[in-house]
Amino acid sequence: MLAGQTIFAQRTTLKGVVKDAETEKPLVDAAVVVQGSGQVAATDQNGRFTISDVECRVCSLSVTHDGYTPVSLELKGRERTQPIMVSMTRLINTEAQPVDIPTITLAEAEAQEEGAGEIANLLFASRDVFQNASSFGWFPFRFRERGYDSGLFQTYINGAPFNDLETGFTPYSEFGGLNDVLRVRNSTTGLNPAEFAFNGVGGATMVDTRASVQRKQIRVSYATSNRTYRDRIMVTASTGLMPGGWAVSASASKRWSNEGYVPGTFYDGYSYFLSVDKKFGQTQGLNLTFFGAPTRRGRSADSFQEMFDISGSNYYNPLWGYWNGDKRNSSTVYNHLPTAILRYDLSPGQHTNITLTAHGQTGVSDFTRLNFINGLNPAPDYNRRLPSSLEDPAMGAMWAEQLAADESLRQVDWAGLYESNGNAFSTISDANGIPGNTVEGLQSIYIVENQRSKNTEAGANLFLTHTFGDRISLNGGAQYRWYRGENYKLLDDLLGGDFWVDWDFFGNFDSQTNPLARNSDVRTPNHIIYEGDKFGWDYNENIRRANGWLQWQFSLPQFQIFAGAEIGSSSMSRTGNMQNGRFPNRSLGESEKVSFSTYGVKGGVTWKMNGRNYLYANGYYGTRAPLFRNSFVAPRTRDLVVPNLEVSNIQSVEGGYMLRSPNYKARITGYLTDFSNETENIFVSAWSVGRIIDELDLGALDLGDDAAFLEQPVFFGSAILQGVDRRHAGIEAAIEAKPVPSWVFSAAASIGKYIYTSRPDLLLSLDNGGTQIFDGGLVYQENFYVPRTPQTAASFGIKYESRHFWFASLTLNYADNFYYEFDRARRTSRFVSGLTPQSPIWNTIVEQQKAPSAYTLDFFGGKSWRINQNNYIYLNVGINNILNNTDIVISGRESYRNAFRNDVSDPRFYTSELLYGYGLNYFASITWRM
Amino acid sequence: MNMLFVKKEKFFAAALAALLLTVISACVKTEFDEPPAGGEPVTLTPNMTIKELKALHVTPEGFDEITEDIVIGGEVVMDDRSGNYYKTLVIQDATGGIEVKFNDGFLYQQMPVGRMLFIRCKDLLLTDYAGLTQLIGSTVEEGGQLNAVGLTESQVRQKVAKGIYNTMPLAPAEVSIAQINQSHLSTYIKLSDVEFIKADTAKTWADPVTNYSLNRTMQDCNGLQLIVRTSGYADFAGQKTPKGKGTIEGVLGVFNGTYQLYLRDASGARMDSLRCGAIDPNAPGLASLDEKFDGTSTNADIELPGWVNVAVQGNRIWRGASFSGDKFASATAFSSNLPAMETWLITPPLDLKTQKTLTFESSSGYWRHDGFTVWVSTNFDGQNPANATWTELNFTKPPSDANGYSDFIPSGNIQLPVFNGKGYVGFKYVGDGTSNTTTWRFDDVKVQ
Repeated sequence: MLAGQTIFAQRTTLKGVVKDAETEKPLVDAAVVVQGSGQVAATDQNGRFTISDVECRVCSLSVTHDGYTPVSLELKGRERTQPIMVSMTRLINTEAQPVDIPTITLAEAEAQEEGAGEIANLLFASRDVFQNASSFGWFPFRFRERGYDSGLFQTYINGAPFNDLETGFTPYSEFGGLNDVLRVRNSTTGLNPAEFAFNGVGGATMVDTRASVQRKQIRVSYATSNRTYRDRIMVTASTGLMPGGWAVSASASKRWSNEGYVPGTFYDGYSYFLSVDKKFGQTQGLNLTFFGAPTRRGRSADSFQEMFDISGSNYYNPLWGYWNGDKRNSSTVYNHLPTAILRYDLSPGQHTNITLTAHGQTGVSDFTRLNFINGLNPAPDYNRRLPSSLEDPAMGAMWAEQLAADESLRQVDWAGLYESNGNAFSTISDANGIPGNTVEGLQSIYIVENQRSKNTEAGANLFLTHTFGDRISLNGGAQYRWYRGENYKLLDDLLGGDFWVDWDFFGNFDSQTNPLARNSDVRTPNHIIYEGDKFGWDYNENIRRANGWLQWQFSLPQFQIFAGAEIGSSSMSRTGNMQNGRFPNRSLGESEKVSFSTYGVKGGVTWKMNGRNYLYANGYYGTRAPLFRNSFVAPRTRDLVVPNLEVSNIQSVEGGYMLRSPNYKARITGYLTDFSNETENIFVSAWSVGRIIDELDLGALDLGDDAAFLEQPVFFGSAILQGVDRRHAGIEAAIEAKPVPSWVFSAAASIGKYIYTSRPDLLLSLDNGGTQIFDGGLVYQENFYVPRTPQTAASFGIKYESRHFWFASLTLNYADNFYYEFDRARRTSRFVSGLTPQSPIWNTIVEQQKAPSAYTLDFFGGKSWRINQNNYIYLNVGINNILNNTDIVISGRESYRNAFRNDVSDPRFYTSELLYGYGLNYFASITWRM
Repeated sequence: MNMLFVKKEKFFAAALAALLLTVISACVKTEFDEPPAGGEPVTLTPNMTIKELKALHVTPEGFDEITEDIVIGGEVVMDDRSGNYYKTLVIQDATGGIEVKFNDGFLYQQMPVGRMLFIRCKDLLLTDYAGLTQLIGSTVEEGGQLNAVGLTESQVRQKVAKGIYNTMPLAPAEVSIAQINQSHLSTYIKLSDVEFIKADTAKTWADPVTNYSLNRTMQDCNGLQLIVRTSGYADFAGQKTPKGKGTIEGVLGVFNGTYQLYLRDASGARMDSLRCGAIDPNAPGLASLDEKFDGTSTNADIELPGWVNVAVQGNRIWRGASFSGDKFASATAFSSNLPAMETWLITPPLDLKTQKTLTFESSSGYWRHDGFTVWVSTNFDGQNPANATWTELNFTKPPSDANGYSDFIPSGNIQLPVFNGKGYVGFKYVGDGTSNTTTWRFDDVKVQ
């Protein structure tokens, strides 16, 4: 269609046939993809394919067919013009292949955000034994590869960057339930170079959901599980590449449960997906993909071991309570961020491939919770309500007995909240700031509020590959992302009251001296809030990020060498939409804009000792801009920027050995990564900070007695850690052996040590302390362990693959050295002032807690039936944690709630809140493919 | 391929339709009903009166455990809504009331004033705080002594039944300060015709800055006094005590033998009437006046209904004095050390619409200076003579005796000005502590 055919005389036509290696029968509908250009063909009834106008000196082909091991081919020189014979080996069961995103996970990954934190690399699941263990077997332990945070694992969808700009996380919830169309992925791990991005230390993965790479098929599946949801139905239809260059793929699913594994949780999720491809000749392709997954679910939360013991279950969930006989969850999450990605591919010549994407996303993430003012904390596991908080042990024992006997006492007392609101008649003078305007009625003490983030993002990404001869290739790209996160609260439920007044608890203290202080927005003092109204806070996060990168790869017969560099720039600012009464001059309007320039360089060499043994070594040095949440002290109320904010540094080396032989695959990798000069906005116990403030002797701020009187922490504010250094070092090893036919043995281990290597400075900004930032002193956390991931994990698996289209596997997984998140304020000299070093209470205060080691035994099995040439039925059953180990801690943090005031030496204060992973759980699905 | 796909399309459509149907029918329930108003009230039958229960406290300042299955019932007459009470309620039945201590706050949210409570008292304890009987939950030893602990949530759930909300909350018993006795302790009472003593008017109820509790003294028109005590955490602690006289409602307590009244909130004091003895400034002036100062106390500052007795300079004002049983008003700067003294004793408002005649008698003593003058004003505000316009009146002065007191000498008839309104006669004394020390006295003030 273009003049290209004359210009590029070297275009060639690839022809071939695809057969079943065992039966020699032709395979219909096998997808043949030319890597790089993305040109695709499907085999016909005779297994034949033809792809014309291919331009490549070394043509990389990948051939996939459901139920068969994918095949990759490299064709050089004359090989390109001769008929290509492809033999494919039948898999025992396609559906069992772990290249699926682990079925456990997408939903769990959303659900566990309240726990241990983010899971980094679910989409990295692949056929690599180690990756497989790390994303499947160790997921229940909340294992994070190399202890890295989620932002270091880059995710792209169809070429568009998909890590959340605000948190760095990969937002799995945004494509939950779309498992069918997320199968085609291209991943690199660690520092190995990717073709589509300059990945840092965590690697990168690209999910290709384009319709033309989706197999032509219709799939209908039903799944049942006892995890977050009970039932899932999923329908997917893809046309494959049709004449005229069109391809269409659509998928929809619904997942639901009235109660999940954890009591009081529910799940109500939908998802939709549409992808349309149009190929223009052999050189250009256009794709539009649109998807979303509106999902609402009830949360669970961590709690104290005391409550788990009383309730007789490690799955005690304090967030729900009985209401009119039903379980009602006080905290629900709703996400819906529809995403559109437009991708354009151009292969103007044999050596060049260019991909340009534009993406846009807008939607909301809602998070509801109970809020209250001038009342008792409604959390049923509030510290002061624990039996251990009673001074008299006999009274405590009696209360524990009562709690154990009556479930409703352990849960949210909805009836009590409604009753309290029903007695809360009050008169608000000068309501809405109008002198003489009086509003009377029930002023709710307890409400359900909705903390909403309404996010909008637009961006463009370009990457290209150009090869010089057979040996050198150059990758490069540029990216720009624009983000606005609108954050505000909506009143969700007045719980029987007539209205809420937009007063802030902490500002309430100052209201004797400054009546405006308690107003969230002084422009409307005494603001009367009804259901659906905005209140509390309202600000926008504005983030802009751009980068450009270049990477050079050089192939020699025995060596592969690469080197790359990246430069980036980012800026962040806050737009306040309310004038907070405590920070009237630092809340409304545009904040200062903070900008950063970053860079990264990396390189590596692989020595191909022979066809089976490889040695490699990679290195990286670069800088990272702080996240928004670590850049602004407390953006909900004020526009204060963290003082002396700087980029952090990352330097990393890794090296390893790989063995690839027909019956044995093994790899061992060592890595050492130093993160330095990081800034973190952290949670600290209000009580701990109170102690530091006391020691700082700030006089007028000392509201300790008020705190006691109002049963609430008064020293609420923000804490910033500055100058955090940490070192992540370890070894990853995996081996897979097939010593006899049908049997596969595998073993994997990750042995790491992730520790803090500096004493950062603790900066404090108090919610009722004006704009001053106080120096809380050094945090003595050197050699403390980086929390929230097991630092040791191992697995051993046996799999039997029957020739009769079924398989079964058993895997034993083990994790250890999972450390709890710790209260930094407790590790300061001011906190421990007056205590005897090494005394029992001293040790209780400063030592870091660790979860016991954990194990699971998992079964996975499947069988497939071929009804006829085009109809297959697949059955898959996964039973995780067969031994029903219910003592797997997946989140542990020292409680920052205010329990025993004014007695630093009371060991009962130093408790942790825990979250446990599921006991025996299952997932079974049946799929009909046609 | 295309043919195949056409067939599949039908299935595809059917499958999508099936999916949609399922989606619509299998909604997860997340919407919740609105509640029935209030909780389910529980009513128990008391087997003992509160008065009888309090009698079981037999160990002053000690703890008496209740071992019988005793049930009391009463209406909440005091809660913690305003913050004046903290973690404490007062319940009252027909025989009396008692303080009940709790371990948690915000009691008013579910046990507000007007709600019936029934308490199963077995295993609870009776104690007293500085003489006031309390029902508590348990004790805890701290520093070698037992301290009271309020009812824990555990005990509340076992021991306390929350009854109905009385639509007609208990009315306070009307008593006078003189009538107050032990039986009124921890009951809701109302006092009428009381006022804060001058020094305690227009003062904050308590100290909202330091959160200290404060006592304010109240009195009836007979001068009988009662303390009003307010917590520094009360939400009205920073408001001002009323200046006038009226009614006050609250719950009676006692502290080491001294009764004290706690208000529910500031609305319990409705004291905006004229103070004891004050004359309504809106009432017409007196047609006549005949004051012999027989109602004064010797050597005490004069306080007569309707009369204003103020110091403009110095701290001395007119005082009562007597000679041979006759009482009169007297002022002197003698031995006062005052650099300057000025005091006024001003009559109640007089009706000057018709011609009035003023007479009185005056006397001087240890004469050093002529410091006594008499004035009339028609714009006196009832408080500060310095703000009014005064016209001096001439009268017959007594003789000057440097070494003793003169006789009382009649002033002669003094014609007061005719004015369409009210007027005041002011008796002014000026002097100082060094040389102008004459004592001036007057008596038998008549206006007719």
